[in-house]
Amino acid sequence: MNVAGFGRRRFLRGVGASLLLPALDAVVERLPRRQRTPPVRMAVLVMPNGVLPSAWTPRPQDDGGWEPSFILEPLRARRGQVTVLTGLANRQSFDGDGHYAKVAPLLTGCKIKRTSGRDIRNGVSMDQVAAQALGGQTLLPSLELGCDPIYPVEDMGYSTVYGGHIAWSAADRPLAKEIVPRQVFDRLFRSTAQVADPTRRSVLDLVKRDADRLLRELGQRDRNKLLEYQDAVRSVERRIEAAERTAAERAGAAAVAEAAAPPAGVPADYPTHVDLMHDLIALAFACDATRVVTFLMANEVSGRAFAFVDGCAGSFHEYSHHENKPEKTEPYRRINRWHAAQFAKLLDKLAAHPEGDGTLLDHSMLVLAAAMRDGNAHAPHDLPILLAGGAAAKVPQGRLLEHGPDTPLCRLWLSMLQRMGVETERFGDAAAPLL
Amino acid sequence: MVVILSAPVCAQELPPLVATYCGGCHTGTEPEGEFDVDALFAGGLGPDTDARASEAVQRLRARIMPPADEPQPTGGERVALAAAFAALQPSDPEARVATVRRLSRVEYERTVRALFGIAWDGAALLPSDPSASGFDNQGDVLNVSPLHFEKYLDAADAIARAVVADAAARARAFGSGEDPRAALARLLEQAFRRPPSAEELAERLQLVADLEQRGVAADDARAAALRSILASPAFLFRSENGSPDAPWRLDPYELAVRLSYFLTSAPPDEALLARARAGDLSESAVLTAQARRLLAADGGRALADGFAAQWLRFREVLTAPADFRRYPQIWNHRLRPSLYEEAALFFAEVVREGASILTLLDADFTYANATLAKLYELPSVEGDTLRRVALPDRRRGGVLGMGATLMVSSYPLRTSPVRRGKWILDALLDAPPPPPPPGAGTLPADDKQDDGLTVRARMERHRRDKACASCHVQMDPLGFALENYDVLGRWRTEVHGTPVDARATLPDGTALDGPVALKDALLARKADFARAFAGKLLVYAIGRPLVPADEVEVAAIVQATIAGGYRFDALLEALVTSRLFTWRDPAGPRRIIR
Repeated sequence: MNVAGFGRRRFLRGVGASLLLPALDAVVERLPRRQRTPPVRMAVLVMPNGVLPSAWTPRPQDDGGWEPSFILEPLRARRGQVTVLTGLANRQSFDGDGHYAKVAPLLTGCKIKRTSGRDIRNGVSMDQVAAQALGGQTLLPSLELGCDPIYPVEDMGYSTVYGGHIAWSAADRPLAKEIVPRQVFDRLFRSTAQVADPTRRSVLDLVKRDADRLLRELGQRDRNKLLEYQDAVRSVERRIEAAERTAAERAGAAAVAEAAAPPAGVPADYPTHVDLMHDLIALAFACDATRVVTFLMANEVSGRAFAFVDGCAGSFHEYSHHENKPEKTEPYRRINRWHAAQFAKLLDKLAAHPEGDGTLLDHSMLVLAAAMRDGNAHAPHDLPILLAGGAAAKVPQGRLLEHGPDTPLCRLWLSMLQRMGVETERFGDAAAPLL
Repeated sequence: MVVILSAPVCAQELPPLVATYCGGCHTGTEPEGEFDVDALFAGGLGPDTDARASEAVQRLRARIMPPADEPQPTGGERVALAAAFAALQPSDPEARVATVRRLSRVEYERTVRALFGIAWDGAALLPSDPSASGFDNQGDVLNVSPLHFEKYLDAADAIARAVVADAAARARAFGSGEDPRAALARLLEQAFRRPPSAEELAERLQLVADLEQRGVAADDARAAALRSILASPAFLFRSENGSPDAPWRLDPYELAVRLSYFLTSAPPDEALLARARAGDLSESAVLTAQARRLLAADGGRALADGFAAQWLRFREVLTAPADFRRYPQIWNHRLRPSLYEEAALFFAEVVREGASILTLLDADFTYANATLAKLYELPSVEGDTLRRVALPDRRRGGVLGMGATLMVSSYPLRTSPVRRGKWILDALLDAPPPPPPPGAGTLPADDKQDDGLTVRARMERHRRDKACASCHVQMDPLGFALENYDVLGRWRTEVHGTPVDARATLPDGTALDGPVALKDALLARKADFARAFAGKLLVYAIGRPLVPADEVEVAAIVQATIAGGYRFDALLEALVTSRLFTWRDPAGPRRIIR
């Protein structure tokens, strides 16, 4: 293990914040305009450890809008484009205790199997339903982002896999997430050089033959791993083909973007890290490199110290178990509010970029969600959910939509899938859309 | 014809240890507690077997049985007794077969270094690996998502470029002047860790020829062949091709691969491959000698970084959240890496020297540099390089008194006797408490409190709740005994003006006061510690969680360790020559009827 660089990295805090976004317009200008109507995109951002309930739910206003609560105050200026949904829940998560049993199925609506590692079982997440239906139209079918490596500790007997992944392409296939901003950036732009490689296809053909041979020799459990490998190879082949098709027209944009590329490595300070990831979401959407993003802002049970927020130097997770004691509810709700503020900044970034008749925000559906409500009780009911943007896709704007207790969260996901253009009438336990 | 019985075999002989320590009361016409071991082992309890057997295991491990006024088994006998009962529990034969293992990113990086002699920082490129059963080398959760494969292709490109550009690496990969076919065959044997098939070799020779014919430069063509090796499942996965339904003795190459990744996180070196070729690796003496050789050559460092850093969780010290304002020492960027190094060097020495594993609990030395000497108030050590230092007293020495383990079991603003106690139960005794019930509540985040109640006083109040008490009575005393160490592991005698109270009473009545007494208490349970160590090491080595049906074999390894004076040497020999390590074994030896 290489530990030498650890301390040095710490001193790079602050470097590289938002270098990217000023270049956005210049990059997009150099992309070909293939579509008259901009496409609909979606991003789901998941924040860990729940929220302080009393500081979350906003007050309804007579016009159907909402008056910001303590946590949602940073969204005041944007509230005309942000809808707050109450009463939603994933009923399949009610039995499992702890955090992982709720975050892993947040986007799948399934019940996950309690296991340390053997026979992992979840379902297909809504983002992957969209990616599998629409992904062929973009460079990358979907983008999975995060800030933390997979946390090495199980939660209540649930595998680390469940804590580290919200995007699942099949019941037993979590999708690895990218946590280094520079590498996300490279995947959006670098393909030009690769396409020029005349040997790649031969290499892939050979690798596929190796896999076919190995598959014949293995038992069932091992075969599943090899089948996943084969599907990964096919998926990457499709990405390379997409890159090949569009390489020439993207070359100019890539050259401009390069000048604004984020620095290598994991940013030392968390606000910069989140900010860069948000820049990349905006960039990916603006360039139409993908239309589907999930962002696990931090691992569930995160004990991160938010020392950059006044009075929040202790462990986030410890604060979340607040027992209604002011010395914990105060930092807890401040950390919650910090997350709302970052979401507001992301909306600002998207709104600043004109597209079609409106802005990038009008053509993007953004969700900020937590997998539990009150972190103190790991409560799975009435989840904190915001839906923002997407005016062009007829997403309600600036409403407080109050639903009955335990209204299936999957109904929201179904509504979003339909707005993305996925032809489906069902998702998870939802038989009808919410919106 | 081999027939495998998936249900536990009935009608076993009553194991002699059970007859000796349980038979006195639990046999005959009126067995105590209506628990008849004769009937249990003869299969007469039918569907109740599982529950009664698991109850027996629990009582033995908790030292409730045999009763205090009856003859007591030795530590090793107790481990074996519990194993005999555990083995009665039915287990799915498939549960005893590990899933094919993808190389972890640490293994990938070390494999590349071993093959070509180039340092390639894979951790920066590849996604982090999930862990299962506490380790990140478990096949069940090591998957290949599209992002992984994208990265593997990128990595293969980068590595091939680096190899072509470096004269020494180039010679290692492609040979120098020898027959290209022989050179490629050798490379494939190293990279696939077994002799390549005729097709695998021919297809790659063909690839190079085709590309050259298409006008691709010779170097690029060879690089392409190398990339096809590095992105191949034969390189990325450590497959063991035995049938999942029948016991399978690992072939010599498979055994070599298990051994080398276990001890060095790297592929078999030339000497080990030579033994695999010769076919005598399965012989216990050869296998043991190779294990010792690999460990000595690596100095125990890979086992420290790969196994111990996860088992004892000191890997997390590099990232554990801590408060810079309360603990400005953390601004010293040498602190965390130094704490990590101390633990790693200490563990590496124990295994390298084949020393007593009890050294991990109690040692008269540690490793320190200037930073740590200051933290631990030791006689001055110059410079940043850690060196072995003798300790003046027993307050340090062993994993209980190391900043790394103490910090990862603390919170940013205070120590946590609960987390420290849980860490000891989990890592050192392999007896983790069950998760807390929903809504169990937690303590304040900070040890600076305004209401005058210490963390200890709050916990004592919490323990008055019976639902909480059953687990906390085990965890808390272990953690309280470590209260003399602060969040960073510094020695302290008071917390914000209140004297440290490191007194505690274990469930069996043992009174503790501070870490030295805790060491003695754990040393009194040395067989349980050996069982925990052996169990964790096995999970890491064979790549799957242990099931009750494995316990008899685990107990045999523990017995051999005890017979060898608790030396790591003895543990290593027993482990690598065990059936658990040398077979893929869905049923286990007693379940085969020929």
